[in-house]
Amino acid sequence: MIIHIDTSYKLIPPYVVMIVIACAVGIAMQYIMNRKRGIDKKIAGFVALLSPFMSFFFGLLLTYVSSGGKSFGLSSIGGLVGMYGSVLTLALIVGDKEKSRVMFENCTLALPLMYSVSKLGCLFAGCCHGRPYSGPFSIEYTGKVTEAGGVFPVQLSETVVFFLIFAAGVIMFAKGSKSAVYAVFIASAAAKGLLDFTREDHIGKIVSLNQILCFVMMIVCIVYLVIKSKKPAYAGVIKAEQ
Amino acid sequence: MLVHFFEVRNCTFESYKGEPVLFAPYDIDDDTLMKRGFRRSKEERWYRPVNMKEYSYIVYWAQYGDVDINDAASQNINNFNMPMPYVQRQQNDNTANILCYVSVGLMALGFPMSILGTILVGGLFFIAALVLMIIVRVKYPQNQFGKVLCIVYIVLAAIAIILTIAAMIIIAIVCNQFIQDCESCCHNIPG
Repeated sequence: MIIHIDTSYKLIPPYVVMIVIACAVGIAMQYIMNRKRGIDKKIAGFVALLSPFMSFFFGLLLTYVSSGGKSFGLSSIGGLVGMYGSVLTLALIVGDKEKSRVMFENCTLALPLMYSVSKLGCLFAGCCHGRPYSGPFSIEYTGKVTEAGGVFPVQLSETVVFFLIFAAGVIMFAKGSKSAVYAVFIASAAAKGLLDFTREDHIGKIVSLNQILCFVMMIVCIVYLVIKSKKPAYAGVIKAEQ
Repeated sequence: MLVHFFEVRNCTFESYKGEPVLFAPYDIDDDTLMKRGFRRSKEERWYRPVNMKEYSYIVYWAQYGDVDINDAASQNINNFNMPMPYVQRQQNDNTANILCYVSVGLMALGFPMSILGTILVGGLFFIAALVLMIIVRVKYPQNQFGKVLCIVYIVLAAIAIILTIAAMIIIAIVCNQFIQDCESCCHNIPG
């Protein structure tokens, strides 16, 4: 089965539409979860106000820095840093550990959904497409982006994989799993890093910048989990009893 | 004396790290406590700081026995306004106003900086201005300048988002048109 996508458009580019929808869906999801889990309306609102600007800023900054100041573009990992940056800013202002933890958890749960929707924009625009590939679900681009043959459907794979990560994370979290958020974070970093091997940009490279960043994020999360597991859960109670 | 804070019954009114707080009993589930703004202390106890109006309300009604705080009482609590000492209010207002002025300055510099430098420099000024406004709204919620600034920035943010989307669409359309023109031009070259 071959998928044909015409990348030419008349008026509104589908990439912009999907990026806007992704931002709106992710931020709305984060706001709803923050409100449901007891975060003040004002704080949840400020996170929603700050996050599009910070994710846009860091998205541009990462591509600008990684290209040596030659080009601008929106980077997904930069966007992720911006989303966490907005939560960190509010966490530092509020200064409440419990609320900060809740906000970070909600951000982590909402991010795969945001990424999943945004990758549909890349699919329709034909940017960051896959390696040459002629198997099932290969994509043939015509119009503005024209490839000689079929390419691997990396953007579609990312949309499906990240939506599954989001759905699994939300179900696990709803069932009361305490490791749901860490599982979502590690699975997202692993999926992003592994799927990067199937991109055309990756040809001729051993590892890309995205893969290095994903690997670093995974390591940081795992180290945090190890440190957390070694610390007794009720250290505070034991200390108080002593 | 016990305080019944909505569905969190039998809370104790104590001092925690020098602040007046309500400590929840141990048998209340975490979701209910978080919904009602309770936080977990290092000693794994759930507490909720009380603001000045709640404090005044509790202290006043404590002389008659247990205190009920619920939807019916919340209107009374809002009207229960013990005046803040004048000096403290004056100091808070001064700090908040300075932060607001710095925020306005950063916001005003944002646009010229994005033209003189890059959009990233302008963006940095814009984000810094937003963060200062948020600090004022969270730390000094009564400050009038902060309230006005918040509304102005929300309107500016909405305009900025709409303009950014419009700019992205215009750039994409221009690039599309340019590529189409180039293609049609190349097709017309003989040989």
